[in-house]
Amino acid sequence: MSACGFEKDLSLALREGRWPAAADPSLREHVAGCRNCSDLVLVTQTLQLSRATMSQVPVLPAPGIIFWRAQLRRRTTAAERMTRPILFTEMLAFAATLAAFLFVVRQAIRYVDWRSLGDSVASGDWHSNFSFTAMTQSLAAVSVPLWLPIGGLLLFALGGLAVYVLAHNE
Amino acid sequence: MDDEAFAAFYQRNARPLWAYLARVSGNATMADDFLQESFVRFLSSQTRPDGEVACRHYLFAIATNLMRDHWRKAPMAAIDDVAPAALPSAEPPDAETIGQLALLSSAFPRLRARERQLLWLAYAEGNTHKEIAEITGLSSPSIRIMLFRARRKLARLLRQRITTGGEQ
Repeated sequence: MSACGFEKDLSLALREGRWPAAADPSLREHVAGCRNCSDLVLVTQTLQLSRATMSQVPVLPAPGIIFWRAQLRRRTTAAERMTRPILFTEMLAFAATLAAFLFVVRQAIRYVDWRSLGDSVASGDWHSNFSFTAMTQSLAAVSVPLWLPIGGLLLFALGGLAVYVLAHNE
Repeated sequence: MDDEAFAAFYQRNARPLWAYLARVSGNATMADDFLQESFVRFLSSQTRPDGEVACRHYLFAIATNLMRDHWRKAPMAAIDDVAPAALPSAEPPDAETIGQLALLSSAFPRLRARERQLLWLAYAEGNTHKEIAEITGLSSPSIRIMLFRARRKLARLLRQRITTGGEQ
């Protein structure tokens, strides 16, 4: 790559619209014999012409529309930024609910005598097994802590609420 | 920037920006979309500079980034330039202008996107290497070399087409 010493003057003449008529004759003489400078003239004149012509082409939207769109976007971005902590808290609540639910399920699997419950179902003794008194008696018999079923019910309710809130946000 | 100041800035810069987007992307519809998006991002920005020139460079930088992101997702299709005959100009371009634009329309798509950007910013917009560096994010020394090569390439393509046109 070899830059020509006249390039700066020529660029200025082209930018100011002095080329070729109002340019220095010595510069014109130089350009006629210099490959770099003749490239510069050809490319600059062609692109300047293209710019002048293409600038007339677009049917521009009104600036008011763009200003309004930008305002709308700013508001949306600001609202998103403000609700981000709330969304994070909701996600956290959902995750905690899910974890607690899994814990309750795990404890239930550990404590409940599934075999005897299955036998009762097989024998068709539904009413006695699923009445509240019988259930609490049977839970007490297998030493299931009372918080387990109550906690489970609460978690179902809270979990449902958390899922609803998340789905509503989306 | 209030709406009046923006309207004035928009009037001064929208058409040159559209020409840049249309010529470099080669797609008038895309230029329409990118023009609006560039101005919206410009207005929504928290880090907008002060001053007309700085704002103008910032706007062109946004447009450049939009095109770059677009090309990353999908390579550019063939250039489909606006036909000079379709220009809604008060004065229709003369035959010489149409011929010169036709030469550019066939030569420009043969350059790489980066070359088209640099050439347009330097020779159509008249930016310095430092200003182009601000807009494109490239370093000034590499712009100097890339621009020199791109200019030589475009001049060669234009001359080839002039010769071919002359022979036909």
